[in-house]
Amino acid sequence: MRWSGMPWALFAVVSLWSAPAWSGPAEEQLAAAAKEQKYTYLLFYRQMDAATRAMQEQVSAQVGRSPQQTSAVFVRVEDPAEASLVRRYDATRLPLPCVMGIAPNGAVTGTYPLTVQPEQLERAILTPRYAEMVKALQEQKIVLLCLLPAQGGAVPQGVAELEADAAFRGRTRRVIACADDPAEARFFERMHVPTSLTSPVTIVFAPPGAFIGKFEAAASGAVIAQKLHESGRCNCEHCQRQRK
Amino acid sequence: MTLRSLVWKELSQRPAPTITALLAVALGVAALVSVQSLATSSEAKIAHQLQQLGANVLILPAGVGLHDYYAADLHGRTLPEEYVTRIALAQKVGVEELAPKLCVTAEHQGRPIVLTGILPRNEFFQKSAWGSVDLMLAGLEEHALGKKHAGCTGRTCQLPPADAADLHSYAQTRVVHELPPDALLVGAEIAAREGFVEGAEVTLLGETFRVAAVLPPTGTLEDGRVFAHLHTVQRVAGTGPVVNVIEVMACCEDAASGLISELGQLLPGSRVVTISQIVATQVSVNRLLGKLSYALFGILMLAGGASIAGVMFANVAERRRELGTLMALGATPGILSRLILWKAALLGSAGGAGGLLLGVVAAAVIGPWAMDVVTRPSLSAAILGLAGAIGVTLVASYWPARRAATLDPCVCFQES
Repeated sequence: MRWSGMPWALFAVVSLWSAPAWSGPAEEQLAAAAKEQKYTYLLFYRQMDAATRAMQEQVSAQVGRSPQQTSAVFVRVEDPAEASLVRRYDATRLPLPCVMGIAPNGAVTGTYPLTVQPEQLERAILTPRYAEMVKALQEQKIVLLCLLPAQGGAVPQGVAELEADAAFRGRTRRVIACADDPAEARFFERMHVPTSLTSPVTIVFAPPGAFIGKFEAAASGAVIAQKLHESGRCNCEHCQRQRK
Repeated sequence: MTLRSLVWKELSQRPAPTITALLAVALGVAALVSVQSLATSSEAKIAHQLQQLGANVLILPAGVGLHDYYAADLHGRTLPEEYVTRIALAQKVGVEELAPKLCVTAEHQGRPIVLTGILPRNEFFQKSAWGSVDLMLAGLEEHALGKKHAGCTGRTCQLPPADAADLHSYAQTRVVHELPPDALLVGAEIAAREGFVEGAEVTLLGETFRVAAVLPPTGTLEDGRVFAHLHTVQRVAGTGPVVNVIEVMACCEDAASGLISELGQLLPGSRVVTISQIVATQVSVNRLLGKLSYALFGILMLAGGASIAGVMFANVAERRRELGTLMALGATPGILSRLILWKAALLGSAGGAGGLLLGVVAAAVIGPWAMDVVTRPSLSAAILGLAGAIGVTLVASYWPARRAATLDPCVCFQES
């Protein structure tokens, strides 16, 4: 008799732990948008002042232009119900109001404090491979972006060589995009690579988004590694020793 | 009786007036040597610090003056911490690291302790990475860093290096990659004073911290501080999200200079200064001090010279009969001149050496006490001081010597 209430108590505790009681309404909206493969404009504000209203109008207008692709969530940083989301983005320490673009995969695709322009909001919408690349950079990985021609083609040998290099093992992420994928046309355009390319091109970025170089298909792993070392962003043990 | 014994007798029989005359000369040399030694040692220390600090920029609340780099957060005025985020998001070319600090006073067993909040790099790296898309675009457009800073490969990078993970390295790098909220980094001096050891628990402002690292000595004010996560310090001190100073570590001097106006526009109500500006101010103060020491030396030498000339004229006048006797016994005017000049040279050497000793001792005592500098004697000031002292006494004694040489023994005996 004494223990009869125990399973119910345990159930209640587990339910409280796992249910979205920890996440506020905004966090739920964010999760729902991600499920629908929508980008979310997350607007953090402290009070509804002129700057916040202006930003809200810009965001609403942008969502109005692409309702299938985007959604908006407005979060007052002092709202206790949103504490978890505010903590996740450390929003109390952001210059407010501030709008962030959040990709369905969770990558932050843009952060615009105090004011925002329509073109900035537009720029925060990325293609799937582009979002994958940004996510990798935000996970502190060196990105080896392989842009392949429409007729197909193998990933350049230099990429595989670099991945096998002991100095970079486990610290790179390969992202592949094909020129014949219409969803990635904008990605090619932003990378300044024509979709009419005839041989693969490799572009290397280091966290948080530093451009390291653009390499032809014939570039060896050693050539790419050399460029990374020169940039001072590879942070391999050899370069660390040199810096000391 | 030789010339040397005559000179020695002269000095030993009437020491009081000569010692008084020498005082100004000795003080002049002492002032020159001590101030020059302090200025030279201080400049060497600044140069060493500059080499260690690199091309850094400090962001302070407007109106805050700055004399010591290591005390940049000890003014009690604050900036909002969101300024750190603004810099991280702005992706300014050349910004490599950000190190905001908040300084509060705590007590340990009734003794005051300076508790400094520091922000680990992972906190702002994350925010910096939120601008990846814009950074990539800028990089593709113009290879921003490469174009503006040809040959500059940067000092650090955004990936977590092993040495930044070692909390002990904070003493040298002033950067930690990660810092647990309850971790405490303890300066060498405060650790020795309070008996803090690694792993021990310490309660400050009602919060229990664990000593994660006792830092190696650096010879700066930071040896007397304890460091904890900025957000923990803000919470326990109840300050809210503010900082006293933000240090921006730039990739090179070129970038640091360029950042001043850009950061000034980005952060209203703040004062942006580079380390080289602070160093330039300190160096100019040192140089002014050095020039003043020359002026003081010159004035005291003039006073000393006039005093010595007076003593020598009086000496020649008082001893006309003795000098006349020497001439009657066959001493030439040259011998009498040499007698006076040798005496002057000995007096100058003694005054110079005394002043030199006094100056070296004063610099050795004042340097560590007042300026936190281990002082080394300035050789050039020592040579100049000694040469100046001897030269001034010789010049001041020249006319008395000429007067002694032109004395007529007959007149001397008649007068007496």
